Amino acid sequence: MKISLIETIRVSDPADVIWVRVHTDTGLIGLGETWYASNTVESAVHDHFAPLVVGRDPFAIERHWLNMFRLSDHAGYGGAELRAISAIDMALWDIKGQAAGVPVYELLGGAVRKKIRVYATGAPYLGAGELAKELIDDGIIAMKMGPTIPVATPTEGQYLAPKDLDHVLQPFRDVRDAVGDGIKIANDGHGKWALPVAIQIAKEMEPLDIMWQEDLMPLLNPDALRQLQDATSTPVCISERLLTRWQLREFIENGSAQIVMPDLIWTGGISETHRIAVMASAHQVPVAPHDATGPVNIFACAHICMNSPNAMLMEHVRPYLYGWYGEFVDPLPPIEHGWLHAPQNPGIGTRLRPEVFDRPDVQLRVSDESVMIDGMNDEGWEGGPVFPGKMWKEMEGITDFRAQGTPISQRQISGERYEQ
Amino acid sequence: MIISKIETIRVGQLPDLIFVQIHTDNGLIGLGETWYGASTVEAAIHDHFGPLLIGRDPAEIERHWQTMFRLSDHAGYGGAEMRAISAIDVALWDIKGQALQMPIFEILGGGTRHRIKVYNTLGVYGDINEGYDVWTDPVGVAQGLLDQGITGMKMSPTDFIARESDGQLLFNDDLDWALRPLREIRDKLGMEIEVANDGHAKWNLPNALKIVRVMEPLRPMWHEELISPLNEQAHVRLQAATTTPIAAAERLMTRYQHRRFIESSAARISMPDLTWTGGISEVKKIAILASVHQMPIAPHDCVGPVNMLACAHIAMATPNVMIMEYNRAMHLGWYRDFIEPDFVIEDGYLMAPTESGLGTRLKKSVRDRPDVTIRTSNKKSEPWLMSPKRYTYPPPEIQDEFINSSARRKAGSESVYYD
Repeated sequence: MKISLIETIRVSDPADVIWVRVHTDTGLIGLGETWYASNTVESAVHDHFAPLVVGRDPFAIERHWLNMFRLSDHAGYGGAELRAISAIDMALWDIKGQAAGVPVYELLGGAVRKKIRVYATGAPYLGAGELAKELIDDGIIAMKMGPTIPVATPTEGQYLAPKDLDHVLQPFRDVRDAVGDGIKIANDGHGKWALPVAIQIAKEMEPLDIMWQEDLMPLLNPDALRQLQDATSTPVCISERLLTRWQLREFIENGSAQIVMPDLIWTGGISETHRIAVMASAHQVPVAPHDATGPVNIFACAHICMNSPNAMLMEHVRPYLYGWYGEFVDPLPPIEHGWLHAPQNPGIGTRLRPEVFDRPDVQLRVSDESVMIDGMNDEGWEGGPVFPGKMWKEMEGITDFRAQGTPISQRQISGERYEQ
Repeated sequence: MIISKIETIRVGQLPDLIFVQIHTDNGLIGLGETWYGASTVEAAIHDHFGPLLIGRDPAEIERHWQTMFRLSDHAGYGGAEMRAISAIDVALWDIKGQALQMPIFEILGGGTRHRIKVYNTLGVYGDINEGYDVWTDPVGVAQGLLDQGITGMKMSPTDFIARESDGQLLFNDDLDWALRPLREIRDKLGMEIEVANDGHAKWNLPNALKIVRVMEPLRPMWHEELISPLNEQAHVRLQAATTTPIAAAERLMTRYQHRRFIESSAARISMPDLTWTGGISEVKKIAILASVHQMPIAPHDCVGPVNMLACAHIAMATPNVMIMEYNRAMHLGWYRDFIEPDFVIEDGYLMAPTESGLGTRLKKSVRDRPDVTIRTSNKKSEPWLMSPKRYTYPPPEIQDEFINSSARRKAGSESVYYD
């Protein structure tokens, strides 16, 4: 099997979402997604990574991940490139799952559970108590809101008057008044505050029994975050803006994060989120995947959650799920009565709806085999116009890391089961 | 698909070796293996873990690993139980690969390479005497390996001189004598062949520090277990004293023990034994943990033939695998009496398995051996771990009261995990 082309799909609303479809010569199509600055991602997918991937074996996911990561890390990894890698990685897992005829979680080692609890993100300043009742009626037992975010602006997060803090905590008190301990509440700070204010907020909120304090400070210094965690009995959660296991490591190892929240479509896809979950498990740290983006992310996170023993909760935004998701994917993420269920279709478990391609605002871009780099194939670099062939021949003898031998796509994998 | 039967196979000829075969109701057979204290492992597989597996879906490897690990960790994980878990884990991956018609490395993320370099650990079996010959004709032994394309070897030159004092006293002239073979190899062959030093945890820290300093000019590939890996802080001091990498080796169990050595810079190479530390699932996790610290793994061997294949899958799918251990004496001596097809060593490389699953199976003839012991379990029993009658639980009527007291609990929380 070979990757025959890579296609990206964007629309004007929501403008941040971008889907990546990886097509193969067998007709299988893998679907990936990311979110944020989608035109930059589009360019990264086609101009940067497509030449590494098109024409190659889609099964070698780990190798493609490395190739793409190294290419982008030449000038410092992160940003749009990593979002592009995340989306392509998802699409490759989708292909492999479809080819094998199983949901992706089976390929990650199988399921440890059939479903996982979800929490709902977003609440109004007035009426949070009513929302909490509604959520409980719908089977949802946890919610997240961020009322401290707007009051950070006047001081750039350097100072918060106790009276202002008291004022913005009203939604939390409304929820406790309305439903008591019937729902868990997390607080999201969006990285707005300096350390003393973060400690002030966390301490003030302790009597409200907060599920976690997420990104009260920017996630730039693990030692500073450790001081926050030491100062409060509420678990500190590190969130979506940390990219790859290498950034998350510092916060997990120094004990500053009791909960980690990787964003699968930003941090490096299914492959990297799986690795992050494994690393966290070595520290008894749970994983609560980030959402508030597109519908395919929830499917991808569902596979991580079904497979990872240390998955805790899954985020979702109800207005998205019941709103625009339905215009784009079929089936919708299998969320019912507060649970995200294991996707049952082979691969990632959902498809873009055909009418997406007929929208007047759709922007498609395709990289086909014409982008392939001369001399690059599944066996590695054979020497093209850029790299002198003779030098390559000399290096060949000493370079072992390069993929060697017969490419998987050309090998006969025995179709017969063992004789019993 | 469900697990219908678990079978263990041991032979009198190799009392440390035990194979496990997991049978499914649709006729697939997954093969696993471990090594050491085989009869204890046999009991752990049938009496301890079997009831957790029979009647369940073999595809849920991660869940089975967790359930087995938790059951054993009730009284402290390790030992025979970890070896049993490792063997079962490999067999479950074999089943999954066969069911999906893919080699296991494809399921683990796909190949990052198609072959991995091996080094030979000097051994003695049957007609092969390289473990002895290296003392009398070191250059001949090294040249013999080079002729086959094998460019690395592992020897244990200091074991013998540790015997008298149990590693507490080291004399310069003894060490000088023990290093003579390696010195001869360096004199005649230069750096054509890499030589790793395995200390088998024989020494105390000051003697280990002396050995690494004295051996520095001989440029060993790594030092492995000069001291026992019981205290990573002692290893930190050893690693700080030498430019030669220290390998944290096979007796560390699971990512939880490897973590301390990886994170404290106590070692620069991680050497998990797949058949001891928790199987394919756990070695993949250890490799991921090591990758965060730019650290390679070099899987351990010197056990049975199935380990080589299981490690081959790890090596193909994992970027940070450095090299694979290989015991030529055991391979050519007895591995082929047990498995078919054999794994392929070519020009000093272990080649990627090409068949679906693990890529080998137990020979039928093993079952007909006069010294064979086969034990089978097929009884599904209700293990105490999952029983609603656990003694720490309230009586059933109070359980009902608890569930009925909240809409959330009625919504199905009782059936999510490990039912």
